[in-house]
Amino acid sequence: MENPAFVHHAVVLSLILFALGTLGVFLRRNVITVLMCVELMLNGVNLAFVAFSRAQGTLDGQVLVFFVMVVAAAEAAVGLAIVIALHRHRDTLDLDAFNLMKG
Amino acid sequence: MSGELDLRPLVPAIIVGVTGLVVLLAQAFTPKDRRAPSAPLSLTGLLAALAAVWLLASGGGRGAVLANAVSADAYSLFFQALLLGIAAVAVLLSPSYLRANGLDRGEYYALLLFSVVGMLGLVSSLELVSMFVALEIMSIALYGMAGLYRSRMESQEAALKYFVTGAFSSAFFLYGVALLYGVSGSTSLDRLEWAVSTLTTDSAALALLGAGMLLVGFGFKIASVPFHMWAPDVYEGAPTPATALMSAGVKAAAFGALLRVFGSALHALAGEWQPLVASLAVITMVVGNLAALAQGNLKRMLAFSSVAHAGYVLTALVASPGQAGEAVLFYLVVYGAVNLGAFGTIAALSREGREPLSLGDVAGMAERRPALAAALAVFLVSLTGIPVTAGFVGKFYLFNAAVTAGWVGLALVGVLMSVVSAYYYLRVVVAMYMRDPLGEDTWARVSPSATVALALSAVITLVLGIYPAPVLTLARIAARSLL
Repeated sequence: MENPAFVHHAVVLSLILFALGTLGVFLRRNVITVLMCVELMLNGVNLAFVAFSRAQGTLDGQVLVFFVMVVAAAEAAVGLAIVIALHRHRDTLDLDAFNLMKG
Repeated sequence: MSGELDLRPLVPAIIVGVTGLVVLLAQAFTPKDRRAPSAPLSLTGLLAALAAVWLLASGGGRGAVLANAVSADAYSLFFQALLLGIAAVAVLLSPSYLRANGLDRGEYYALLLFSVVGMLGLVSSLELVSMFVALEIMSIALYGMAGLYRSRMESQEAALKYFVTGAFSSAFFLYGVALLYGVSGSTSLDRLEWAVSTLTTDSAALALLGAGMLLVGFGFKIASVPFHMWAPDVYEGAPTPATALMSAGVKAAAFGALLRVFGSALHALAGEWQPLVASLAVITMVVGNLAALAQGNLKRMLAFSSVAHAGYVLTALVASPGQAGEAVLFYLVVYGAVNLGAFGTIAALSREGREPLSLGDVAGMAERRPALAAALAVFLVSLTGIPVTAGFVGKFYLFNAAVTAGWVGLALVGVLMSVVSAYYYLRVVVAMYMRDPLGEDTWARVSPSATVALALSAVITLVLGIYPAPVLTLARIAARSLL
């Protein structure tokens, strides 16, 4: 068993990272920055997994981090491809510029 | 668990995944001047997977495998059969639409099959991380499908919006998984069920926060208000057969996983999450229906209607898991058939990059194409929930589940909102039957494969409206394996 105070701090930090990422998704308007904010949220999740893993004294949580990293990489590949396809249509990466559909 | 590697519960997903690879290879090895047989190959793969589900249902090999991560219990098999059926109809709808819009490439079918692999995994996972990986397999393939229409800006925009909200919601889902892992020390639903029934005050807060975050993650996938803002844009921008798959398949798969997690594993916390789900249901029904009233674009109207229908399904979740399961499973079958039919009608008429999207486009349709107009009318009447169609039976069981659980007000909102919805659904029927056509009929002739798909959807809609007993019995058996 790990020192409970350490685990507590790590979980609070992970929540802060997650919250910062969430805020960034809502406040930033550049597509790439928004993607980076999503990565920040995922890394908050990773920290929480590792912290809980140490609290439980099992390795499961640390293995799960690898799943998250692999999926995040796959997601980033598709996401950046979409961004490139968009950039060829419109010479901007501003999310507010993509407003063809309304109602 | 024995040391042997038993993959039998995974066979349907493996067949679909391998078919996806075969479709990609067939595309690569077909000479430039010939067309690869992507649609027949995909259909064969999906039917083979359906046969595998049938064999699993009638034989052995249904226990949990891969360290209790995946199983082929009655609940999984019911959903797998449903999802494979939905995908097969979506494949039947695709060739004519893709040709009419210059999108006829093998990648489309490969992405469709890969997303089906994710859906199959999602409904058969007994473990949260497998569920997450399946969710991502499904979603990442769908981001690609939404953006497949490279020359149309709307499609690219749809892909971007779907991707950003999808990635955002997965992060919420994962944080929920992390918190529940912190509570139970495991991501398996069995262990979780045991852990939440023995909570201390400290861990109760963590468990509730985790359950809430999971609900947000699922909320995005089923497009419940306030997590629905992506749905209208994505449904409008994506190629129409892909929209049909998204609205019918993704919703069914996400509800399958949602019900397994909340109805079964987190049932000990029902007192806490039920009021939350009930309020989600109410705002989803109200906002979805009111927004649909204001839509002039048919695809967008159907998108908001699909938001509203997520609300109807959520009302049943306040009931006991068995009863909720039966009502939800039956409704998802009905909803799948009806939505494939409605989006399919639009897709089937698509010609040279255009499709009928306004009331003017369908005006007088009954005169020119009586069979097609009748089919669309059946779908719209069923979406409204008028008797003799499956929509009525489905809604009856959903609201009945809510009333039995003592949530009469919730069912009342559902019924009132169904009345409101009659206006925007029947408006289309009125335009088809009572207005004179505007201009020439320039829409495509419906292809044989699309005819089969639409006829199948219409027959299922009518048969389940008149004789729902067999499917209800299957739904009941499937829901029982949740308990």
